[in-house]
Order: sequence, then C-alpha cells, then structure tokens
Amino acid sequence: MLLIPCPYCGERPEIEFSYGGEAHIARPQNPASLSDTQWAEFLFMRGNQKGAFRERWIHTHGCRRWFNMLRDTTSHEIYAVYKIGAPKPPAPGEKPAAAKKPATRARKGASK
Amino acid sequence: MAKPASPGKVAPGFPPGRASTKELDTRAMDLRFSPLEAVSHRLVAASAADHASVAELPFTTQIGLRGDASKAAFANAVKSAVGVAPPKEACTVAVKGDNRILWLGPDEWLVVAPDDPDGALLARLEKALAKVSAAAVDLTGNRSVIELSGPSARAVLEKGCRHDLHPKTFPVGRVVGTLMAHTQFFLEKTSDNPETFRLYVRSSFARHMAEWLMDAMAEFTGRV
Repeated sequence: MLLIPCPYCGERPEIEFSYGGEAHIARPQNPASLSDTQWAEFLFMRGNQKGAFRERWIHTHGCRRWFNMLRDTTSHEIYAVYKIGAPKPPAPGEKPAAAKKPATRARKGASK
Repeated sequence: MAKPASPGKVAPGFPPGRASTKELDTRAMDLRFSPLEAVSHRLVAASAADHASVAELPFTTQIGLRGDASKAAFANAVKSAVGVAPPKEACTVAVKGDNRILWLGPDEWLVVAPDDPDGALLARLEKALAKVSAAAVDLTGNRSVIELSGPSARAVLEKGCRHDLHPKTFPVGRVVGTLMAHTQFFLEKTSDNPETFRLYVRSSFARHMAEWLMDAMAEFTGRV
C-alpha cells in the first residue's frame, strides 16, 4: 500500500487512486497524417522504464483530479507529484530544468 | 367509452387531474421515503447513546457547485445565497446555521442544506450565479446522509476507514472523500463532544453502508 501525496488533498491511501499510465505522451497534432507504424507508436509503445518513471494518476475517490507522479518502478519510492501542466520536477540524478544559470556561474568561477 | 364517474364516488383526488397541484405536492411529500427508512427501526435498535449511535438524516438538500473560488464574484454570489462562501482550503467545510458547503475538489463543492422541496435554495443560488461563470446543479437524493456519533464512533470507522481519524489530524470541519466497505463516500466530522461524523453515501449504497456500520457497532454497543 502506497501513501500517495495528492497535490490537492495531501497524503492518501493508494486505494483511493487509479493509475493512468505513462505521462507526457503528446497526442499527435494531425493523427490523419500518421502512418500506421507512427500511430501504433503513439498508441501502444511505452517506455516501461526501470527506475524513475513519470506517470499519471487520478484521485478517483477523493477530489477526482488528474496529476503526475514521479515514482521509482523498482522501489516504489515517490520522488515528486506535480499538477498537470506544471513544470517537471527533476528525477534523481537528472539535471533540474532551471539549473542552467548556476551552471554558467560555476563555469565563470572556474575560469577565474 | 366509459362514462366519467360522478365526483361523489371517486376516491378524493383521483384521477390526478381532479387534485390541485398543491394537493398533489402535499401527497407526494407524504409518499416519499428516504433510502434508509425501511431499516430506521434497526438503526435505532443498534444504537446506544453512551457508545455509538447511527441515524439517517433524511431529505437533505444537496447542490453541486462548480466555480473558481479565487474570483470574488463567485464567492460573494454563493455567500449571498447560502450564507457562507465556498471554502478555499482543501478538505474543509464552511458552515452557516444549517447550511454547509463541503470542499470536494479545487473547483467543486457540495452545498448541503435542510429539506427544501420547493427548491428555493437552488433558485436563489442560480439567480445569484446568473452572471458568474459557475454551475449549480440539484443533486438532492444523490447521497444519503448517515450520522454516526458517540464515544466509540471513531473506533467503528477505524475498522474500515484508512484515514487517520484522530482529532489532531481529523478535526471538526474536515471532509474527505474516501472508501470504506468498498463504497465511496464523503466523511465529515461535525462535532467533538461526542465525536460525530456524517457519511455522505450514494443512495444505492446507503443500505449496504448502514448494514456494515450496524455490524461494526455491535461489539461496542452489545446490541446485535
């Protein structure tokens, strides 16, 4: 049993939630122009990662909202939850999306 | 063709065309029954005030409310109709007199009020929200309200509810949507002394939930 921190309601038992598969899979802008292979790629192919995995969940029996979760598929550790449309929090070992500036500063410091 | 029966021989108000709308309304009010009415005597028999009591609160008015709580126009319109603005904080309840607004989601609430067969509250709410981007829908009868109270009420719920119901984490004025006995319901804490909870159960599950509660209460009340 996982304790899932719903971004709206706080920590709730797993039974209140339903799983929605891999997150951040964009629907093709123009499905009619896709080949069968491309369509199958969109429809069926999933990352099936071992380790940190971004997935969708819905708090079915609580607030009925969808949200994203970054969970480790081997240890079940929940690294982060974030609302739909919110910026992706970095996975462990992944560079944070907003880390560009500090990196530049570090380089400057190194050249001095 | 059958001759129309003389008015003197006809049962009063039959066929319905003979009764005024008001008479029909009155009769409909007499005929209506709540989902747990059939087991109300058993609820009484299963209750013991010094341990745990269960009762149905029949015929509450329920209105589903959608809108943007950060918009003052929406909050004010609701307040003018219900007496209290929808709570912004998650899982909380706003109460004014007999009216209460339960937080169900970030843009969704449930207004719960006393019996209002004429729909006056909904009419007031619809009028107040006429120029606001919002929705108010009559959901009366969707959920039955079961009240569970007494010193053992929390222990009864803890048999099946996975929430931490300790007053520190589940104080008066808190509401959560959750599962118990395979049934989705909203659980609201309404009083601390004695501990009182309201269970908003979908009407078709009300009987099942009531049976579950009566069974769970038996060890505390000693009544089977």
